[in-house]
Amino acid sequence: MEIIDYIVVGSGCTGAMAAETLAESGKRVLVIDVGVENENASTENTDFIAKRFNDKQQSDFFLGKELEVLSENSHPNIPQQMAQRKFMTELTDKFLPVRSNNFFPVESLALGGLGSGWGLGSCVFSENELKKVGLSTTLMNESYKAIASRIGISGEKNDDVCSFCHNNLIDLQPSIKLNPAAESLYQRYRKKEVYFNQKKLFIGRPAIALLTENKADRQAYTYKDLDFYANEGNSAYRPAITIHNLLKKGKIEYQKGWLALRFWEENDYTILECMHVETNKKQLFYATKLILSASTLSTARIVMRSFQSKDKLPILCNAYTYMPMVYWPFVGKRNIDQFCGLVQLAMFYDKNADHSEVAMASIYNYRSMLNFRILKQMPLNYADGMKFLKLLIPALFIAGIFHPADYQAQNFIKLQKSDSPTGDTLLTNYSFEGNEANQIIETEKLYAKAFFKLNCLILNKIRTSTGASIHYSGTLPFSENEQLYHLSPAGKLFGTNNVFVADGSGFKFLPGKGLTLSLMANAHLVAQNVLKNA
Amino acid sequence: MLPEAKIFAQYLDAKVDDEALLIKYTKAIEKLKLSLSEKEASVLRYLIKMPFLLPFADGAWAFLNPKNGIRKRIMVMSAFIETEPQFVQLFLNEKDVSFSVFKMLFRGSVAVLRGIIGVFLILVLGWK
Repeated sequence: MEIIDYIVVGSGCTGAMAAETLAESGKRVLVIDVGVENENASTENTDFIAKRFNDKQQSDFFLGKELEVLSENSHPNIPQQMAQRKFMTELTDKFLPVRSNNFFPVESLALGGLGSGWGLGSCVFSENELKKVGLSTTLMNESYKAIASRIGISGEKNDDVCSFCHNNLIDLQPSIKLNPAAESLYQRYRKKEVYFNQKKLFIGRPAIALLTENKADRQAYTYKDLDFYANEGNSAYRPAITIHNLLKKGKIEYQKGWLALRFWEENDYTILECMHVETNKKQLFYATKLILSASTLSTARIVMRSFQSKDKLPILCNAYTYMPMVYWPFVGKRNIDQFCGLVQLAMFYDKNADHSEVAMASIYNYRSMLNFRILKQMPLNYADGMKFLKLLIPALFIAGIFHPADYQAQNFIKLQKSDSPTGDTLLTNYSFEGNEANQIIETEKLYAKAFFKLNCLILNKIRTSTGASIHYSGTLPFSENEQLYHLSPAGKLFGTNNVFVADGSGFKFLPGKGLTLSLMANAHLVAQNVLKNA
Repeated sequence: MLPEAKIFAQYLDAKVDDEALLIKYTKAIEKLKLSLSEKEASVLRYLIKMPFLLPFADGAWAFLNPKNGIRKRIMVMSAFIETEPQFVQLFLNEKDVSFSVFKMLFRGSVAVLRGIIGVFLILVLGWK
């Protein structure tokens, strides 16, 4: 029996950060992961326009060799997923089954987890938000700084949204160059700034985990507009980068193909039972400390199996609305080569004017995901629709609005016995009701009015099905009191001696901002606590 | 399936000078298992004979029945045409377009009008 110092379960954003912090101690760190890898990874170095005009094999690239993008058998919350990102959700149907009428979470068993497709938004949580989440402001602010220096974040140091995005807590690289339409939209906002600010609306440059300057062996972003297909020079941060680097330096060990099922403690060590996803063979791993960072839902599965209880657990998920809109001044403009498909601007709505309940709209230009996806949703015939869209695309923005989420009694997850390979299925229920539903409608109206004021015509308001935000937390809430299915503020799982949770399971409130940076910062803190505890 | 591929390509303004695109479409429909109901298949047979009705029927389905099987197949052809370099100018502006808002409104109005005519058409012909 070999006892490893630290076993980290999962290689996503939180697993990678926890592993890196633990590895700095020089102790033995083993990352256990299913680790599906991207066999369609693109090494593309041309730009979108050149590819469209010259590449005769581009349909394989854009639609997938197996026509994945056209397939109807996709996850309800990630329809028409890019072939290059399909690996992210592979095997989840089989090993992470979910039964629900209204909540279809997106989960991952990939190397790098959902971080492989993260939109890169890197907002810090405010003091009021952290208080509601259950985390210490002082510690998190230090941790944000550490994570930012690891992953590299670009953004604007001084604009209307800096207090929402980074609050000058982190070192920033210069922000990305805006696309012409976004630049024009931003200038229009600047002219009407006073009006917007009176409505508690603020627009500016989001902080994103994208390099605009070279950093170690990663390259600065090159504006080739293939962001959803390739990651040239690793300019966008992905957790797999950290895992590969740690492996290269021999700082961690990595066991691929293993799905963590349950744990139990004996004497002064923890035993983790895993199942191999190819052979279904079970194996035990022994650790002094176990760090669960498999994602909010997967960690909940592991904990529920380990405690062998049928209790329901609470769950939080941001509601997500997206609005395609036309920015009139850019209708019919030519398509330029240097372009960025990533988030351009962010509009924050600070409802209480104290950063406690903030909603955020990420504003993107639409182009590289191709016209046919929009065409199929338009109430127009294809032939005329194509000509219509050709003029409209340069002016098309998509605003994705994240709404803050608080606990509601009707929302829960529960593990039920089934004949799946793991022997269980996650039963989920999630709906937006009462005040929360009304607030979502009010916020949508407010945003629609604000965009109209900026000369944008909203084409549609699409409230996605629950789970589409891919932001989940709160299954094992932080608590000062020792009780089962709760975490101590240091991330320790109550009811155990040596099990810690480093993902978002403890977050008791989900701000309407991207949560990934906060997840990573918390993972770093939890790993530091593990080291202290050792 | 080739005649169907041909009318869809022509409908989408792709001047097909070789059969590669049509064959690609045919294989894709099989691979994606985009089957048609009996009624849809019979409507498609009719449209192959009378392709000028396609924009009207398609416009009407876009309103009334966006998940129509024929429309799904047109979507596949549209995606293939979009990813062929020879047709890229159908999707991307190489230069700024003058009077673009008016052109867009005109194109939108034509599409809506075709859709309205199409609604009557498919109701009369029972193609809904």
